[in-house]
Amino acid sequence: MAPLLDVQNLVKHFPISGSSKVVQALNGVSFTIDKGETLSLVGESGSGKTTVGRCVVGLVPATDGAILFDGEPLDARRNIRHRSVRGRIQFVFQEPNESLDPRIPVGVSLAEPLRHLGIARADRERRVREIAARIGVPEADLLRYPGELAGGILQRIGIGRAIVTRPDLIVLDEPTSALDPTSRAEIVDLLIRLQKELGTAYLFISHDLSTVRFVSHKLAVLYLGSVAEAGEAARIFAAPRHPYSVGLLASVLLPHPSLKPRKRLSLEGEIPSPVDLPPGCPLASRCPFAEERCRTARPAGVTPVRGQLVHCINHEKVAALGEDTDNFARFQEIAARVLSGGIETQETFA
Amino acid sequence: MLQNLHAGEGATPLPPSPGTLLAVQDLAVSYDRYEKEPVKALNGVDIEVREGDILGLVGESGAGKSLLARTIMNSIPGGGRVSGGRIDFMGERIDAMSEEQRTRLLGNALSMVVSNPRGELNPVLTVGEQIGNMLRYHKGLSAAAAQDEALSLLKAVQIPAPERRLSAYPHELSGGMAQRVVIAIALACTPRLVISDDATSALDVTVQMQVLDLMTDMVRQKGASAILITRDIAITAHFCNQVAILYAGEVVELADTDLFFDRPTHPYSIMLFAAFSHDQALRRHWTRQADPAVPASACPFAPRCPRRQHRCVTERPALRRLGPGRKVRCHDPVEA
Repeated sequence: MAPLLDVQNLVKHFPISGSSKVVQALNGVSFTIDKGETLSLVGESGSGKTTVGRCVVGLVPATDGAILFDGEPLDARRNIRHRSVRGRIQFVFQEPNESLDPRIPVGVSLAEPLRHLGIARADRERRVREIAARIGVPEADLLRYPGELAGGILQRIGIGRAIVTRPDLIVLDEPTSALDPTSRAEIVDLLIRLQKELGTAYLFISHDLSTVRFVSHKLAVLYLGSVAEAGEAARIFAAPRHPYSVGLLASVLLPHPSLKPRKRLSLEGEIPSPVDLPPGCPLASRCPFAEERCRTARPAGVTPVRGQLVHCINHEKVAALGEDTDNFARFQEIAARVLSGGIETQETFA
Repeated sequence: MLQNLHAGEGATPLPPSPGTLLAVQDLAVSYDRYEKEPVKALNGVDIEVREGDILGLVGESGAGKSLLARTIMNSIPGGGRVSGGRIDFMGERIDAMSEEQRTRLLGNALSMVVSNPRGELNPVLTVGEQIGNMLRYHKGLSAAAAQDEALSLLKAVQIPAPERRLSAYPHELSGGMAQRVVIAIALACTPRLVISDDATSALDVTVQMQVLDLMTDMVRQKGASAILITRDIAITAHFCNQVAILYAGEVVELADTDLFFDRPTHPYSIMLFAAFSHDQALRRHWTRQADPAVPASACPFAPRCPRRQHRCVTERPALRRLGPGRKVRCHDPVEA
């Protein structure tokens, strides 16, 4: 069966006005998403993850490469507005505050996609009520304006607006990073529950690896517009084979002093400018394993184990650093102990 | 660290014991309103920083973290005023700094690093001039000596090609590099206390680790102390030896880092911890939306608290000792 979304060698260059140079936002990114599964795109700012999402929904045209949705290419003619695609791909923005019209009640925003699909008013109202129940927003809140509601509720509305058309794929661009930690966890729960109930596939774009770890089936680690490593999320979290993935995973801090990130490898400096990229591996300037070959040619993708694609000629040396002790799992044990204490107390005040 | 904090409310704050670098006692900051009661943006803040401490100050946005930093630095924004308590730094009261005291202390013994490094640097002066100005003002160095010292500081904060960066302007620096320059300025003279106000929140994760490592290493090398203000309790677990949790302008828990993470006791501390858990049932129990049925209460956390009782609404809990190395402001903390 063809994958739901098949991104092939996606290239996006943005011209710089008054210059012949271009910003090389994406340099050949490929991945696939099957029905009902979550692929997370992770990377630092400037890695191109948002650009991928924007290309998929057609907000920016790709420079080169192909995007196949449900087996057929998305292009200038068959785009997100085309009858066969409309309503089947949706987008959730990072800032719920800025992506909702401040002058109309959130319930109206929630119904708007249905209006564009030409659904009758009575059906629209029924669907909106059903969605409000699914996303856990009280019906009274639907009459309120975005300015009156908290960020967590607004992001629920943003997600509700995406699922109201029963899409096959939702592109979520940093849906949790503008929220405080407690509403972040609630939004992640909601997304996982909705996926179970509705079978929607997610393209989850985030730099928050503890959230990514929780929601993803597959993972693609992006660096300077190229895929560094891609594959099954659990496998990459357990045994990353690209130096950049190792560095990225080592920078995740968990809230317990015993769970020190292991310093197996340190990345020097910062992500370079995506203008005038050198010909070799994009990580060569920061990588402790870099050698001459890395600076001259882009490393081809290899598959050292099934379901894990690595773009690094030294992936064996990286793998030899050893598997990481699973700090995520150890933290969950600590959290279970801490959180189950003091839970027996009855509420004496209603 | 907690031996000298006074016990209850209304007690007159005493001068701190020797060995204490910074003591904030029962501090309140109020904003006056027209024909209404003043708003207390900070209400009962007690923290103590000893020599060599790195204190993590955690709270959500709006809790008063930055306001506390600004109050210590004697630059309360927007017309607020200190309406109670006292701040002692290196044996002198600084809650009402004289102009002379202020120019002598700030940037010298007491310095600050904020989250927006490019906004903090002067856009029309080179990096070398900005670091040099501090050294010339506080240490009386000559222009040439200040440039030499600036260069060695840039090397210390591990900026690539430091000779070239001396003559760079802030807009030519990346975010991580600008933050390193700000850290160099904060540590240029003889700081005793460095306050970092969310200094790494604007940086990418791999750079965030580098900058936190660098900053805490340099603070230790200089024999100084630090307050790291952050929204992320994970940072305090790895870079601080003391943790203070701030909620709605009050310190609700104050403990040694190991003790705190082994057993957070205030329901709000547990809520911060719970946000990282993947166990939905346990997390839901601890992280609640404010209950609209609970009236404005004496403990500001009561509307969100799963352990609230009648007296939480009527009687404000005092910050009290809970075993060695821990203080908590709660009628019914979770005990080990």
